[in-house]
Amino acid sequence: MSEDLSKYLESYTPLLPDDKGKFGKFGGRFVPESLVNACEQLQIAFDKFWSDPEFKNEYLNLLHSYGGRPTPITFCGNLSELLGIKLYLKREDLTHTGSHKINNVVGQALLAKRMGKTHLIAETGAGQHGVATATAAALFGLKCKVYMGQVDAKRQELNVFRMKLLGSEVQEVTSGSMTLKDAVNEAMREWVSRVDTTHYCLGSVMGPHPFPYMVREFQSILGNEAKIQFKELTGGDPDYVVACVGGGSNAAGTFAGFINTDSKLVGVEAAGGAALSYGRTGVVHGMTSKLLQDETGQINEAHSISAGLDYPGVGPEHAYLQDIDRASYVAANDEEVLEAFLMLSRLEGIIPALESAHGLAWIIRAAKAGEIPKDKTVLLTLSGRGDKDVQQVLSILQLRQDEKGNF
Amino acid sequence: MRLSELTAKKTSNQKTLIPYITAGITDNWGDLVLAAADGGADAVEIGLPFSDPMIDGNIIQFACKKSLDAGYNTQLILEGINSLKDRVGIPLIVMTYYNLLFARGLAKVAFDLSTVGVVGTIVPDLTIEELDPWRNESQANNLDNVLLVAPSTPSSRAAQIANLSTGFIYALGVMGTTGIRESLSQDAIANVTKIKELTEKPVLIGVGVSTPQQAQQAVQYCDGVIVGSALVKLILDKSDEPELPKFVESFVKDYKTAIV
Repeated sequence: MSEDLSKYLESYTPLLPDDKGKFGKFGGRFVPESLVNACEQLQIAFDKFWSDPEFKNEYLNLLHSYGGRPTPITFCGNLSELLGIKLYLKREDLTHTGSHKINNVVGQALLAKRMGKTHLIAETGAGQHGVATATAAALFGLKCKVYMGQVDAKRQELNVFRMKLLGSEVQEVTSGSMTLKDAVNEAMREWVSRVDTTHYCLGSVMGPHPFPYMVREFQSILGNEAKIQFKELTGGDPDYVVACVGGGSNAAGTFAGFINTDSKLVGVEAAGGAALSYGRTGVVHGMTSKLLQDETGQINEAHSISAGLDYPGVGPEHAYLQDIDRASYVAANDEEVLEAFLMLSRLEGIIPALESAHGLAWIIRAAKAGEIPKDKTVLLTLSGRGDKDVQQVLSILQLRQDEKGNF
Repeated sequence: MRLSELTAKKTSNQKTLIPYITAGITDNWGDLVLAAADGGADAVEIGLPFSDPMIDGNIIQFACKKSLDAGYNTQLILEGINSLKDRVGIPLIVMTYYNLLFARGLAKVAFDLSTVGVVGTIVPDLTIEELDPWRNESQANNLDNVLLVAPSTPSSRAAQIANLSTGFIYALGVMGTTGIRESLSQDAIANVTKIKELTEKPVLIGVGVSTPQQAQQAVQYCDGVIVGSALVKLILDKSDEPELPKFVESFVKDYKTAIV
């Protein structure tokens, strides 16, 4: 059965960047001159195709027939009772490839194809975006190379294998801290030298303009679906809309649906990668945003239990939403994330990605502390499924199991 | 001496040679700058290392990391430059990424650079759209802004860049990162030819000039060259040798001889 997803975008009014690609004082385009033309060409192509109904239909049809959209909203009865709130999950874990990343890569791969590009390159941290890009590349017959920090590649061995299964090359990055930020640098460097044939399929709402805006638009289906579904389900908007934030793509897509509502928007960062909570304004990876950096401007490494949130920066739109007080950003530590991971698994039968568990960890903490008042409705974007993380969680839990083997 | 004197040279048809050295690449990096001057460099480009050098290839990435790991930072490097200023006798240009300037404060760092004798900056991740704040502070402190033109830059935009660039125009010799190349690329020649048609200002090719022969070839089309990775590689390879400054001097001399 076919469902037309365009109805979800009909009443969407996007927040637009200014003519320099900025949201307030954040964003912009801070790239070597060799990339300016490529960014401009991409911006022109995106503007053209995103306003072309034929392109949009093809994109939305693929998200439906291939990606599995619309994803449902699930009411979490058991957790709601325990926490005294009404908790709903937007189930991006149920998409093809198991995370919201598919929304973005289908859009960008389709755009690359229209631009006549034959190759995709991408960076990946946890591997979710790499797997999604490899998937889209396979679907569209594009050659694909994914840059992954060597440290991350070791942490997420199975995702490396998935990408290879899908026909992609995985390039381990050994420069800098060998994590996501270095993979971004390496992908940018590669893009400079192959710009004629290659589209850089950036995985989050970061980088030079138009990436933050474009990726948010490709992710906006998530929040717009959720807004309409939630209204159908409850008759209103959620009191709280919560999503985890690394670079911030699932949060940006989620918030896009609720930006013009009265819902409180909350982004949850990893405590060890909390650019919005602890960072300062600076410039890296082509954008002005909040960054974890030392006092001289050297970028710090981020550390958390989830590779997907180990990013020392954040998308500029989030820095802007924080600046104008439209969204608030908080941090969750590894320990409470692990607890949230276990609670959702045991009480609702849903194993979340560790990234998404950050959102739940804050909700649990805030509900217990009364920061979220009783009976309020809370919508959490469950950005991905936890299969990729079970091995890592196992190795952590083995350290603390009792003699009966209970965690 | 200021970068504008490069313009004066151009009229007498002399070619300009600017070696690049990452500050802090060795503890005696200051001596290496002096050695480059002794070898005949017309100016030296001093790199302030950044943790995320987007346009740099393996060699300069490694040099930056080595310097940062050794504890070098903007303040220490400014002090190092200050100690050179009365001895070096040629203009010193600083190349760095925007975040290092931003973190120190644009007004403060422009003043500091000027105070230690730096005459201009090259900031590769600062495009003309975002240039104004740094350009204002640079002008207030008599610092030149050397701007980059890439092979992919269309002529109309290259003309705008050439107009805003002071000191000289930095023509990127490749679509790619800094690094050693087998030969001077066609892109390099096409790029400088494009720029020369747009401006009277001196145009230097940087990135992708890796041998004296390539330098000699390059200056047939432009006013000079910047040599980075090839020199940095030499320094990294011979960093433990006491004769390192002599090697640097002789390296620079070879290029100088080739382009005269």
